[in-house]
Amino acid sequence: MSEIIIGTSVTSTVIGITISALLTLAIYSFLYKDNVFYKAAEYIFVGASAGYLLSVQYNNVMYPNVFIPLQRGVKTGDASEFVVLIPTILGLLMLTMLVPSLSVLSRIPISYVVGFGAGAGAMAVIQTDIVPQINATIMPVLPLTYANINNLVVVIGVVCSLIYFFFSTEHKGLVFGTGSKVGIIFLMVTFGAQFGTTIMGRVQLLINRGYFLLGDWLHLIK
Amino acid sequence: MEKTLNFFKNLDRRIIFLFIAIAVVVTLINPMYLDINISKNARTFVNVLNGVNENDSVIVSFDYAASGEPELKPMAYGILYKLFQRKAKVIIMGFWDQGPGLADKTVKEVIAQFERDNPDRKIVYGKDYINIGYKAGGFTIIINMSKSIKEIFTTDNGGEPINSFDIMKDVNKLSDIKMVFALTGGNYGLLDIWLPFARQQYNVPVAGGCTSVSAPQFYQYMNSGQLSALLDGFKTAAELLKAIEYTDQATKQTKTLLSDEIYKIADVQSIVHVIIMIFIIIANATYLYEKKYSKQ
Repeated sequence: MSEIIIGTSVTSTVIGITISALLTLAIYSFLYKDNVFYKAAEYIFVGASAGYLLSVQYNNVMYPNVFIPLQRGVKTGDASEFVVLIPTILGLLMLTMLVPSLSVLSRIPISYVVGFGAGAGAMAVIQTDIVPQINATIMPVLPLTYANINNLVVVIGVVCSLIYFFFSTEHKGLVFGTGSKVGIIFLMVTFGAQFGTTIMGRVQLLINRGYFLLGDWLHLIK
Repeated sequence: MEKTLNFFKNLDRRIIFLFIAIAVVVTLINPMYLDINISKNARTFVNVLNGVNENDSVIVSFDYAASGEPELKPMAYGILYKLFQRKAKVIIMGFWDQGPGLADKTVKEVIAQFERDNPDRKIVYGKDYINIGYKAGGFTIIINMSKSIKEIFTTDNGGEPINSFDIMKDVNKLSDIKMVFALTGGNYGLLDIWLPFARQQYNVPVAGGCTSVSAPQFYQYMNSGQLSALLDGFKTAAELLKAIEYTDQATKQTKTLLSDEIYKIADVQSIVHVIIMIFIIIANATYLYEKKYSKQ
């Protein structure tokens, strides 16, 4: 009996790996040119993702937060359990966007979400991105030690990049002309770094798939 | 010369793809095991992990999907292994729906190696670690966790009541957490949730790992000290694994977590980057030559 179970498990693993490998090759075939295999893999991916997400959202959000409290409310008669109907109705109102004559109602939940997000997020942005980041830029630059030269580069980079985005004055002269030119250099270095790290990330995905195809599927990697 | 110039100018992108594909296949089959040096970022991360003491409760947040796994799984592996070495109480969760499922797979592999390397230790679910699962809601979850973790996470990922686990006995609020390690496949996680809310509003130290693509967005928070430590992509993940040592039971020698597989992948990264650099140099040289040539 156990042999049959193990045999079935091995077979299903092999089938699973083969399907994954074929889908991987179908997706990469797009690099040559658009084709029917790529399209099929793309649609399978989109469909499976949508179905999976729907089931996850139902099991993690709707079922425990809506259906369970309502069931409890019906059983016990506790009116407080029915409070969940308020966010549920607000959520359903979002769907009125799909009906042009009722779409105005979708503004109610949207305004609630935007209001809450802005209120909670404003403080977070100030505390995370504005005050600490300004603080981190106020740094000693003298005497010219190795650490202070590093600080100087950061200060020049920040000031010159800000000058580049200051559009109220023409970029001419020592401060605005030279400053904006230096700012461009810093921006280009930043974009270069972003390009480099993006390549690194994408290459990592390719290698991972390569390892899967050559190792798990074809067993060519020792 | 003009013929060569035109060849490079009109180079079919598929030729570049072919070169990269060949490099990946050849290097994976014939690895060179190039040396990996441990960077300052990886060392800082290990120091932060060493700062976790026995019985400290820490959160490891798996905020990524399958597409982030190639870069973030090695980080998770190293972090979990080191936390088990430090005898910390590890609480696993995720703001990405696939996160806790991927965590289960990773933690199983980590435990298998850890118990092999430490025969006197047995990692017990509910005592040494727990997976409390995925929660939708982003930063509102953190706000509520600051009041009561158990009211938000009433059960673990398998549906067992959260109060039935020893590990959660002394964990009531977010302030009971010594440290958060957030591994993020995008912004949603470390950047949008843990850093602004757990770190900035509730003062819980946060260290993180991110994919290479999003790494430039995170460096500023290292510079300002808001992030305790940062692993930026596969390269530092490999360095972290190299920095974590253990005693091999068979040979009694000190080894590192850097596996053969990671070595091979790092090799391919290096070779592919060299190829890309060569093509970038060719493209720029062609552009500059053409510019000069067209002026004449």
